[in-house]
Amino acid sequence: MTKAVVLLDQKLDISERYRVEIKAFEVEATEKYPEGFKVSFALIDVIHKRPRLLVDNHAPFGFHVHDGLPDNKDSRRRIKTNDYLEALDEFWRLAKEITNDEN
Amino acid sequence: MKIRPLTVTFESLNGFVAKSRKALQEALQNKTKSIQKKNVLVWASVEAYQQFMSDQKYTILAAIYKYHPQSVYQLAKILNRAQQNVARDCDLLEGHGFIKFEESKEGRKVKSPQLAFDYNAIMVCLPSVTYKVEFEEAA
Repeated sequence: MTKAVVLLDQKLDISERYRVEIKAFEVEATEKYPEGFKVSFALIDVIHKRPRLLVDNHAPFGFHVHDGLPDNKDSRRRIKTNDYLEALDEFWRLAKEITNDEN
Repeated sequence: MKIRPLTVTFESLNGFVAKSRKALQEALQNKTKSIQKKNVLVWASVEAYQQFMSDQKYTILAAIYKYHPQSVYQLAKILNRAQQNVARDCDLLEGHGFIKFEESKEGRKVKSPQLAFDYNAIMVCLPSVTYKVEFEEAA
C-alpha cells in the first residue's frame, strides 16, 4: 500500500478546551476509500484529551459523524451527502453547536 | 541572540471556516497542499488566547527552555509549584501545540516535557485594527 499524502492539515485553537483539526489525505483508491481521498474533521477536547466530534469518510459508511464521543466510539450517524464540502459544513455546524454550548 | 519564534496568529472562527472550505476544495480538485507550519499556531480570538496563556504557562515554557527538565516532577520543583497543577498546565500546553512529551528510552518510562520545536520566543501577532471615519457622516 502506498503512503498517504497529506494535502490539508489546518488547526484552529478555539478556547482552552477546544481545538479543531481539519485534515485531508490522498490515499490509494481502495474499497475503503474509493475516491482516493481520506478526510478527518475533528473537534478535540484538550482538557480531557479526547476527540469530542469526528467526521470521516470511510466505507461502508461514507461520510459519517461520530457523535457519541468520547463514550461511544461505535456510535456513527451517516451524513446524507457525497460531497466533501457539505460534510465539512455539517462538521462546522455541529462543532459550533458544541463549542457554543460548552465554552 | 537569534530569535526563533513560535508565532501565534488570529483568525476568526468564521474566517477559518471559509478558509478551510476553500483549502479543502483546492486540495480535492487540484491536489493543492495546505499544511499549517509547525511554528505557527492559529487562535480564534485574542481573548481566548489571553485567557489560556497565563503568566504561569509562559513561565513553564521559559523553564523548559532554560532548564530542560527530565520530568514534570522536576519542572514543578524548579517552579516551586504543585506537581498536579504543573501537570495540568503541561497537558493543556501540549494539547494546543506549545510543547510535546518525549518518553525516556532508558530506565523508567518518564515523560519529559519539551518545547514543540526549538523556539526561544513567542511572537503574538495581534490583528491590526482598521477603521474609518467618514467626514460626510461625522459632520
